[in-house]
Amino acid sequence: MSFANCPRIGRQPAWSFPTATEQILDNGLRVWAFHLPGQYVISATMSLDLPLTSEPRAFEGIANIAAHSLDEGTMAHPGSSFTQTLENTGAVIGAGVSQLATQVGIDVPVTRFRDALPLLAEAIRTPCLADGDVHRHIGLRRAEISQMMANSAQLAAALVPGAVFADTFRSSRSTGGTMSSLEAFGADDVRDFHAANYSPAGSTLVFSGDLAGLDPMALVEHIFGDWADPGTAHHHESPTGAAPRRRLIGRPGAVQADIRIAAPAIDRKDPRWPAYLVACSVLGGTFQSRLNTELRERRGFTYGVYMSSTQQRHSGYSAVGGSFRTEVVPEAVTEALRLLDVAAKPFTKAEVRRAIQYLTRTAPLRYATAEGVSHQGVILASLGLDWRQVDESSALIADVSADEATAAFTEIWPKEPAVLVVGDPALAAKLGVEAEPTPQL
Amino acid sequence: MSPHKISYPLFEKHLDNGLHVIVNPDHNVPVVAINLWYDVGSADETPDRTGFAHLFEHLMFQGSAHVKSGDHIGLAQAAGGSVNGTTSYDRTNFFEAVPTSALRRMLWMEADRLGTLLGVVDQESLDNQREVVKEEKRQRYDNVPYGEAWHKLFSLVFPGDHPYAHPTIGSMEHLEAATLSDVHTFFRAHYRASRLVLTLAGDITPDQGVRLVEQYFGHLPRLPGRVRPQVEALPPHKGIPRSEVSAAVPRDAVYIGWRLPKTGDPDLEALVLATSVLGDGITSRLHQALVRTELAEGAGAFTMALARGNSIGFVSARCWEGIEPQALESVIIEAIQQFLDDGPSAEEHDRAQAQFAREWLSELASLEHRADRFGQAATVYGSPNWVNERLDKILALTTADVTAAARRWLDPANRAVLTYRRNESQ
Repeated sequence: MSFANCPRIGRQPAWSFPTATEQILDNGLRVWAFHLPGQYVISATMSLDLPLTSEPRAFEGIANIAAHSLDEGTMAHPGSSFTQTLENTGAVIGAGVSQLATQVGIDVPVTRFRDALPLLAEAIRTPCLADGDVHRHIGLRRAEISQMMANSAQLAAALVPGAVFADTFRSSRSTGGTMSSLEAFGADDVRDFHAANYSPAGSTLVFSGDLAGLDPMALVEHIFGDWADPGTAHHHESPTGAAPRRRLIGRPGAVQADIRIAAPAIDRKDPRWPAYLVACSVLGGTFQSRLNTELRERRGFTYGVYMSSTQQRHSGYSAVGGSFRTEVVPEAVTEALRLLDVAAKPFTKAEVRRAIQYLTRTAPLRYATAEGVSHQGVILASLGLDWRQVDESSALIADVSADEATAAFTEIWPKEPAVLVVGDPALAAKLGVEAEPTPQL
Repeated sequence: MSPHKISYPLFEKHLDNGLHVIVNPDHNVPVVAINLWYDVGSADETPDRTGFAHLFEHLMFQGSAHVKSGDHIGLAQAAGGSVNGTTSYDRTNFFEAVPTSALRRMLWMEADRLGTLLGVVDQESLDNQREVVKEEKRQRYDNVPYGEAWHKLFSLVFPGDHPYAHPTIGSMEHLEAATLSDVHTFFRAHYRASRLVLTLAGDITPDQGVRLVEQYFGHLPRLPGRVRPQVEALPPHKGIPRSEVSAAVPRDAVYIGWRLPKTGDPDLEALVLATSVLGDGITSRLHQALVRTELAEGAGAFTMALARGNSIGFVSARCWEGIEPQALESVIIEAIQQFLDDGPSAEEHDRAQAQFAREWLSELASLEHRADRFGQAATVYGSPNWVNERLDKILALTTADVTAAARRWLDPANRAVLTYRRNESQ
């Protein structure tokens, strides 16, 4: 063999995002059903339109506690009998909270979907939220915060929203609340919060899998059709940026430091979004990105460094992150900031072509499973977007030029981003900051 | 109603050089998962050269005769693929899933590195990847609360000279001492076509798959077999070995380990159900006894299937603030003893089977994971068809099978116990 024999990449096979069967019930609940032949576990998730701006300021974290207490018993199946009945079908239930939405979902074999979906409806519509269960989940969340504070990477990630958004906005603070906010509310408040805010209006039920012979829409109408809208209005905020700071959270003796370099960005409705996404991919989205090539493959400073973007309806932020051994941290920060100065070294056509190929050609793989399709559907629903957005975005990304990617990034990414280091306090002098103790989350 | 019947179509061929090809056609999405399962892991290392199998896995991405360093992943990603490799005790796997348009190129690159790596790997790439692996060790184990727990439990359950006693990531000292000559010796001893199972799962026909693998790998030589030392099965522990770690962790924690039978022993599958009843999900006995009572912040029970002599089983639980680990251990032991006395109820047993069915179907829903399981099955059980048969075998197990296996292998008298103690001064 010789390199001349290296097989060429063939013509990209035709592919498009699966098509959903759509329905909007009279109570406002939107339903997307994706039929995926050969996927024998159905992934069904409700994305409730429930931005965390709906939480009372003193009760932050209440949405998270409500979500995690849903499976501790329902009116029809109190206490453990709920999960016993659900798990007897082979299903597993999970819940999560983001700044935009509360998501509650099940995975269940297709053969037991009809038994399990009504139980998902029970958990969402008529949970007990009993005193003891809520109290325990508050304790578990406080324990989780203790674990986060002890874990360098998790602590660094937890501090990013406060580094990019002004502290007057909910988006700058933890989705799960703080040690002190978790002390402020009890089970009555959680039940009130659930009653006022869990609503079919604006929410979307996404399910994917081999739906042959299931007639899922009739079942959905039957179990969600009489779900009443409590009428509470929700507001998605438009947070402004925080003044960029450099912080060192001291962890004496740590053998590694976690670095985050972060800044506010744009939302997906911004026309520069495709170009900005391509730019972030060139910088830190792939193995051969500028950051990973220099900091891992050339210098051996880190196991890996990445750049990721998080979206909200009217905002977003991007962060570079990685773990680096203590002695190289100052050099790693300087070098990363230099690599992020795209004006000094604009993207080349070859770099942008590769990033576009990566972003567009990986789609068939990312959405090959029920879990992958439902996950993407739920993200789009929470952003107020349509599932058709996957193919539409792909087409826009494919057209991004090197100049557009360079222009978008240099316009959006600030000259002075926030820099967070969680590591040995002896780094303070070289980083030009005072070391702070671990903040109370 | 029974869960879906699993019957993935399978086609196999052994090439003249010993390479085992498996093709699982699945035309739902225009993607192919490629999985190379090499029968070598950290259990093949000697106690004075630990971390080598994994360091070597990194070097496999540093270029070969016709592929530049980093290009294996770079070209795969630009073609729309996901790609990586992992090392465990018994095996090293390399895998990529790509659109069908990139299948030929990926097979060509895989064959290039198996055929030509040694002519290319140099001191510079060794030095660089040594640093990367040291960073990986710090990031995943050294700088993380409880990061060492797994390794410490293994070294408590297995004696010092056992292949599973040392961690796959290795020691900093051994990583530091690794030389280019070690790299050559390791590659020559373990990397060869006859130790490779190559699986293609996805939008391809059996004929196409076999033909392509023959085209790119067929020229590689057939090398002599490897003599691997036999590892005898160890009997269950006697006398409850204990170890206590004082570390900067937020809560005390308890890890309890057992020696289990190796892969292929029918008891091991029964123990999958036993540990599910004991510690999988919020209906499990340990969750009910520990978390609902606010004695623990979390609790679970697991098995890990291993091929050399024994597998391992363990229970882990993190103390609720203010609860002593001894108290936690007592409740765990009481719950396990109760389980050994009574066995699972019919409802618990059915639930564990239903949960297993969903987990197994979910795993096989992904072409990448399915291909990986075929490689494992062919290497460990001699046939990829184990993947098609496993669910039926698990569903055929009775409560009596589960109780008997648990009594043989999970007796509290045969446990080893690792305790983490919070030390605020660290």
